[in-house]
Amino acid sequence: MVEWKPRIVAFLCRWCAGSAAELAGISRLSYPAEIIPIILPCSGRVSPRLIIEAFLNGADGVLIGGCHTPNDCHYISGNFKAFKRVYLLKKLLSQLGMNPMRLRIEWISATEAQKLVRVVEEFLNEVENLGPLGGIFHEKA
Amino acid sequence: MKRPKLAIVYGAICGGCDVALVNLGEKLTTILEKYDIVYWPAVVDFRRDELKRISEVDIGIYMGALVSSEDIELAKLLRSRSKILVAYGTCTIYGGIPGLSALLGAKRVLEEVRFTLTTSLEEVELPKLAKLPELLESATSILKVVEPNIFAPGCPPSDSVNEALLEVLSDYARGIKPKGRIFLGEPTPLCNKCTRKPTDTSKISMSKIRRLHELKLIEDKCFLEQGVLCMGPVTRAACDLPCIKNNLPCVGCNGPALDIDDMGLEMLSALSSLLLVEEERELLEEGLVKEMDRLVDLIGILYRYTLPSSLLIKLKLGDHRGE
Ligand code: FES
Repeated sequence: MVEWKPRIVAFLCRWCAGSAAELAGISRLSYPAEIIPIILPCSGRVSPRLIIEAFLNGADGVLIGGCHTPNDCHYISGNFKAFKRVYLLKKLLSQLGMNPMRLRIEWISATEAQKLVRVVEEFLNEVENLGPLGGIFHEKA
Repeated sequence: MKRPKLAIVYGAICGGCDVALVNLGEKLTTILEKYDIVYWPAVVDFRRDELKRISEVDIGIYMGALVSSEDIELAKLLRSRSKILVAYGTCTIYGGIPGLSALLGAKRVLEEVRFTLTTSLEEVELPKLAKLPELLESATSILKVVEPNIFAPGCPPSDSVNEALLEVLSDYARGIKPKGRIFLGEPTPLCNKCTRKPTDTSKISMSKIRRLHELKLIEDKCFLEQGVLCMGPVTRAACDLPCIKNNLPCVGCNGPALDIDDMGLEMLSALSSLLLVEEERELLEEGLVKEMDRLVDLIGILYRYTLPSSLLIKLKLGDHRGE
């Protein structure tokens, strides 16, 4: 049997978290390959639907990376929108019976490559402990 | 001339749909005079076997939710007999209120029912005595079972939807057949039709979350702007605004507006863009959380009528990976 590895989709905004990922590359910091980064203009672009579709298509965890609040978002307040979406979605998912830890939002500035690596490693670990996301009728919240 | 045949069948029905249809009164009777009613439990006394024996009906109307194996069979039976199948009411189309049981699953629903104090011992033993139809894991949309021709949304369908249905019936009796998939009633979001206008239509902002009893409502102003959660932005405007006119916010009973398939997620997204937009910077994450925590039972708010046909429930049932 093949050993199970979690799959994590990361939606990163282009100006901060996405740039941090690039910086991590340039600085030769390594982070786990289980994470699939997707660069978007702004974390405010991540609709709840995008997150749910990621889960439905095989992600065991979804990470959203944006610019620091209150003033760093390139589009002024996209990060606040993202924060509210993620928070409400976490509430929704836990009511459904899914562990809300599978969804995480972080502010990572363009210079914080170290933080990105730490967050990714931490998150991967957490999701690994939660196990694969199958039917979630019995998942403990 | 041969009169067209009409059959109306029930799934898990509360009776409201039937009442809404009958409420049309004379308008209904004048049209029904042109029809032979071959099956309609509230009106004529026929058994289900008789429906099986009928080889063809012209119009079949399915009312109520599909919650058991029997409902599924009935929907299939009606589809196979009807030239035109009407999915009547939100329960049939989206799962409706019974669809909320999808949160629990069949086993827990039965447990809840059997172990409440009001149930007597005999009832506990009932399933052993009689062979009851099997309860589905979750109430389901008729669309997952058969393909209807006409959809009449609403809980129950409004007068305008019912009148549109009567028009189809009377056209049919005159030989004009409906074509394609028809959704009765106004398809756009309710806000388009709403009489309560926000101060600035281009920018609604919700500066708080309040329940109806917690504030003094201004009667002609947008609910969202006053902090009351209203499903108007994502709900099909197939009704005649009975709630809005009576100072109650929309709860989404008509199901999603045109081009929206998951109204809960869509509303969640809209809500995040409206809520506390002016105050974000001072409240920061903590302050936002405090206000958002006033929303209890998000599923009950966002998916009151559409849980079984949502994307979300696929996640719960785990039927997305074929594992
Ligand atoms: S641009 Fe980074 S969160 Fe908006």
